Amino acid sequence: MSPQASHSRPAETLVGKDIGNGWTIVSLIKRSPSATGGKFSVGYEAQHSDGRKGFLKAIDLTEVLQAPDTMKAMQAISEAYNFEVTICKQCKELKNVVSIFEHGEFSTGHGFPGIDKVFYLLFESADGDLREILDREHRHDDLIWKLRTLRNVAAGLGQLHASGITHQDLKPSNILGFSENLFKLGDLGCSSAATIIGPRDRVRIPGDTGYAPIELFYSGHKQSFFDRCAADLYLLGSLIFFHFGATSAKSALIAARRRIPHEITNIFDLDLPHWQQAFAYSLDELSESMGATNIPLPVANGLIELLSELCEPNPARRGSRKRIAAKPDQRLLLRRYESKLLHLERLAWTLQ
Amino acid sequence: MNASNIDHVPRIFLPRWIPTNVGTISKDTRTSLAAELQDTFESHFSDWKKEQSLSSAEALVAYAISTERPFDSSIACAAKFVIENAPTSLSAKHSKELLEGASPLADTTIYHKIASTRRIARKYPFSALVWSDLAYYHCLTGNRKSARAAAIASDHVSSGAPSEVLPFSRCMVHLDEPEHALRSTRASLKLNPTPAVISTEMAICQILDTSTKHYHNAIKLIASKNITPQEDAKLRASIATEFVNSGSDRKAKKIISGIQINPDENTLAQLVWLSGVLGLELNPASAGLKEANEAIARAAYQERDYALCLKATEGWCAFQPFSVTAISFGSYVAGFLTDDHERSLKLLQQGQIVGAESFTIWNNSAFDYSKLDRLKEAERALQMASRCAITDEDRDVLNATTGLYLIRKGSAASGEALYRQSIKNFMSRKDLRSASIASLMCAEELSRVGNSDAATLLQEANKLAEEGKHPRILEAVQMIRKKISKGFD
Repeated sequence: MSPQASHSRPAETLVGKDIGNGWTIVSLIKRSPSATGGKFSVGYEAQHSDGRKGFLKAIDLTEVLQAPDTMKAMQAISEAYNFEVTICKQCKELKNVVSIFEHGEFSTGHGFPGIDKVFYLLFESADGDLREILDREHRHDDLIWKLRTLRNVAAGLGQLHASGITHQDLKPSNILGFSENLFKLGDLGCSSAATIIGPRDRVRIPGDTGYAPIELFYSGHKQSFFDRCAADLYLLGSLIFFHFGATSAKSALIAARRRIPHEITNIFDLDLPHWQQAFAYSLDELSESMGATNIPLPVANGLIELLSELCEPNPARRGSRKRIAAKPDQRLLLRRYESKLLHLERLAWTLQ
Repeated sequence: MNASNIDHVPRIFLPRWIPTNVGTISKDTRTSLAAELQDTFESHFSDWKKEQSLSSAEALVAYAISTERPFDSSIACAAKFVIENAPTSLSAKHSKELLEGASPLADTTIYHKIASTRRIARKYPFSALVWSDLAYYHCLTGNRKSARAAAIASDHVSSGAPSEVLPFSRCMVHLDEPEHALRSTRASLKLNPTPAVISTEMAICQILDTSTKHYHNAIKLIASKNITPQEDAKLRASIATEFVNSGSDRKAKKIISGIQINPDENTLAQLVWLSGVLGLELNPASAGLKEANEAIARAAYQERDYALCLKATEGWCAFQPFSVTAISFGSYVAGFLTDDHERSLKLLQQGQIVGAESFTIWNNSAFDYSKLDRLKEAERALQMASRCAITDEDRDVLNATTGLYLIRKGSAASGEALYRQSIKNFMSRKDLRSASIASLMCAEELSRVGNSDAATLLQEANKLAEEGKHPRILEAVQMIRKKISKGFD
């Protein structure tokens, strides 16, 4: 019996399949479910005849048909698929966002006609995600590499925002490494666009709850494109916590808040002072933890200053403090953070 | 002579001021997560199971904390791994907290707390609560200038939320700037008319002897029933205090009768005070509140159980260490009513720092030092008290205390003269209570040096206390009489 025969879903039986345009599916990748397709999607490694490698995300309808409300599930999966295709096409030219090679559908021959269909998205393949590369290449003490990844992420987010798209699910597993100097943002399944209605637009917390900014946990929070950009800035700051504190911004905030005797009211404006206080404590803890490493003090201070702007718990004050009063619509521009990170990278070069 | 104003002046029931980083872990009632939300805990967990690496352990611990998952053995295992392999990281610190519970900064000194809070405020100067904490610590060290600067910084970055305004207004009242506190409180009430802030506004108005602007808002909030029972109790107690101050005891009784739940400890203390004024029965111990020290102290004082009163007052002073009222009251009970000058001085030593500009603190210190024959310290305390004395009453009290000091120093005639002068002044103002206390103190000292005028003064004190209907002073007269008959050690 071939390995494929033991699988029951069409999307799980694709190893060795030629999907046209020179692409062949090589192997199955055990990948955590992401927002798009969620439990309905399966990841594969694909290879082109010219040697290029790709990551294929395959979706079939068998699980959808078993969902309690089939029509609703069908609508949700098709909306998610079409949205991701549209967004990925829009981002194809962006340097720091993972490009899509192909998308389409084919029949596998497994199951009833129609149900055997598999819809796929084929992306450029990466060396691994941020955490994998960090472990594999032992980069835990490589300050310059860390700052470079952050700069790449800031650049990627800036490119997305300039295209009218917000990512909303920025986390280490969604940052993909392509070379030592190039990192791109992957998985736009949770993203929102300024001009296209997306499936996650109605969801209060579009990305992973373990990383999402605190304001999203309160009902009544505004969900404009600008607010979503502010959430992206928070997630960028969260990566600083990941690199230099081995945690996330939200985790650091929750850990600091555990010490504050305050009952959450579920009214954001009333709780905000306590979140701001917890944030102040978490910044101090991170700074203390960085002090125990070999990170030069000016770089550590620069990172704390960046964080205080990026992860500010009040979304109305997040971003550049100088621009809050003068040009509030420009306070979330990521170019500033990209250049600040570049400056810190150079500073680290000089001081190390 | 020892002085305290608790007998005849109502205390102003401002909110409690507790620094926010030394409390207990809060019970979390965060918004529950809906099914549609993305949660990748299982993925982090399987990564950790599979890889058993440091980064997967760190990722699991961070995720567990951020999603506030209940503590279990699988997370504990990852947390231990992080502590062992990266002991200095932030993740290891969080792991320790996860395993051992969050550790407040209880064992550090006040100066460490000031240093760390100042450092935090420098890194992120936009948290009003961090500035309030800094102001609190400065108040505890008696650095009023720095406390004021921190409080003003807190006001500058404040959004007007009640949690920011309440500590600020408490601090400004402590720093003798109630007008500033009132401005800030009223500005906050325009944004958030919450019961706690309304009660504070009423209390500050009582200090400033002006009318509250939020009486009708308080009545409306009570009628709306959109507030919690604790908030309802707080508002009712504040309104009742307003009624009592304006002489409407019947209305006060009526509004208090509507309280249906055990209030918080501050409201309970206010209710105990009100029940004393209105002649109601209230047992604060039955409320079962851990920190109801002020309420217990007041109730014990009303029932003349001074040992319990002093113990509870010490608890009150520990809970609200910057409170000059608590310290003055404690020193009065210890120094005058229980004759325990060592205990009184223990409280007053904190008072000398936090209430360095309080006449009562320095006067009571001079009294206790003199009684213990620590005359050098008494002299210094008298100098400080004379700087802080503002009113004629203060100066007469100070004269009496100076009389005590002089008698102890060996100048009995000069001391007696000062005592008699102050008694005369008290009598001219018809302050029989103070006159009887001064007579009593003078009698005790004169009998100590074998002066025959002591018996006459004691009788005079008894007569004045009877005339003024001061049963506590009558008890003190009896106590001194017994002491004299037994002879001094």
